[in-house]
Amino acid sequence: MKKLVLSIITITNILLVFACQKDEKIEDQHPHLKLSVQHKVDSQYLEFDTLKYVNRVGHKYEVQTLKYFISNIHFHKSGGSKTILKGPFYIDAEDTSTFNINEHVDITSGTYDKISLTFGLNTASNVSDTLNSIEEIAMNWPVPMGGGYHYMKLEGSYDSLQLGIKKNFTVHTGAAMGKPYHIDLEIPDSNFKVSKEDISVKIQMNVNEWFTDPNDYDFSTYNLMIMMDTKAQEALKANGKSVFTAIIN
Amino acid sequence: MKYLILFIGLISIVSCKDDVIQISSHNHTHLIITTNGFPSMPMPNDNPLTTEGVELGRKLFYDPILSKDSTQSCSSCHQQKHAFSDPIKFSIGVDGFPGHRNASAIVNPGWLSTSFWDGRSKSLETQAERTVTSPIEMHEDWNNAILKLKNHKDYPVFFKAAFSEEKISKKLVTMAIAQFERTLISDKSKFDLSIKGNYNLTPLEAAGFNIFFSEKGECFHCHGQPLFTDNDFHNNGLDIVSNDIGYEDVTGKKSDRAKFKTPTLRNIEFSAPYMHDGRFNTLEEVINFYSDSVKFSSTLDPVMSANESSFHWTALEKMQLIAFLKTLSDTTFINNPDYSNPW
Repeated sequence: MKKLVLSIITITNILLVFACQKDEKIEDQHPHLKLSVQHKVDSQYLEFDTLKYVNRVGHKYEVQTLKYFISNIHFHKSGGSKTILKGPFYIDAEDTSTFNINEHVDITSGTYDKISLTFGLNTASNVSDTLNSIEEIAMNWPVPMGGGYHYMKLEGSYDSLQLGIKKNFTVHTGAAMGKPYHIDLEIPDSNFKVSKEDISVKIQMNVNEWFTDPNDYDFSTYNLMIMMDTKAQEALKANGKSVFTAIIN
Repeated sequence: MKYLILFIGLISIVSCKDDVIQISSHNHTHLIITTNGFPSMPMPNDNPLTTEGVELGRKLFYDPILSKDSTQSCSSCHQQKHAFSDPIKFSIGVDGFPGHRNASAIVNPGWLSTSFWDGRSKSLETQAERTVTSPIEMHEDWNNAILKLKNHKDYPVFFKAAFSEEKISKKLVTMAIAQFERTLISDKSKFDLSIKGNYNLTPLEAAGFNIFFSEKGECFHCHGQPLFTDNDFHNNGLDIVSNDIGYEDVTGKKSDRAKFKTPTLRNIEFSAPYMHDGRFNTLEEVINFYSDSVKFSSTLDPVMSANESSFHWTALEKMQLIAFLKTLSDTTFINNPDYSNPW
């Protein structure tokens, strides 16, 4: 019996030693893609709590909160294959630790035609009580209002007359009364080539694009409560198509 | 073969209670919190929960030995029957001086990323560390506190059992208290029962639920399920000019002026008075404030409605909201013998 125990211990130890050695000797065969996000307001990097941005309808505004989900990120390779990052990925534009979506996406060499993604969560994944982190849970969209999660909380204040009198705005997008308003979008000019070198893709949100093209979004019209406002959700869904660009190098 | 069986036996699941799984190893019984519908509780790698550590933390929580004159314990200002808060506006420290903020309730603290109204402690361990030395609380020197524990007839044995160390230190004291606090779980309110289908909300409670979880009430953005706090900081419009800068004191940012940590609404019925400065004595006063008296200032939270945009709930809607808030009361929590004074 002692022999049996000794044999088990010896075999286990040998396996452990080999496992450790293998880890140390792993060499990457594929280039990696580093995927991250950035936030701008037109040409400037987003700065919080500063009343200095102007939207299309002429409202001066500041951003106090920007939290959102993106999901189903596809890298479309010429010939039809795809590399997919399903997510969802929670991003808080005030917390840089949430910016790096994936440092080491395994991606094969070749030509990629485009990047596509879902802004928010599609119907299948937008189900209450399925996300687990405290930050994600705070994005809850109450069941009586349709359930699931906010796609985005974009909050701040604005000065419509530019007279120093501020009012608050809350741009909260999600499945209003269960009707989905997530955005499946293709990022323009997002083709790239992968050879042996690692590559960096930065998905960039231009906050001001939420407020224009094709709909000029007027804070004083929509104001605070838009979670049940299908007109506002539709306007933002349409505007969201042009919110993202990509910087690839 | 018997050695192999013994080894497996040393790491085995011993028992499962409602929210806690106990796993015994050769030195300790490790605990894993599993609460239905809650996210996983963040657990520091260097301070896993053990039966022995939790029990030691409970003894320390209720023992005045950590205060300067051995008259006050954590439980002096965090009383179980008040959801581990203090029913007086500002707690009085050992030197007879009042604090300047209301003692927070301690409900499900294991899920909170910061402690205190201004979030100045990033863990339960550091929160306990500050409380012992604070001049308006226990006002004790840590060296003295440790000396008293070393000279105690039982504590050296308790520490050895909890941490396998003879040497009592500030770090181990705070780790033990934090372990006990992480077990203070409230998840058996009427609301929780209704989620599981074991209780039907009354029409008044259900109407309050619908206001709470709609833009008519806007409560859910900061007090969402399941914790009824978003773990974040907000200016909820108490004052046009606040005499307490709140979170700004921690971040140094003017944009954080008068922001305070969102308190959980679980057991809110038991934890009066309300707000960081305990200015409201009843839930009626709180609801009246949110309905009609929110003040605008440059850092007012964007989801809050002030002035002409205020909610202006009717008397019936206010009653409905309060009825719903009371469904968050968990009498098993405030009466749980595992959380009570062990001395």
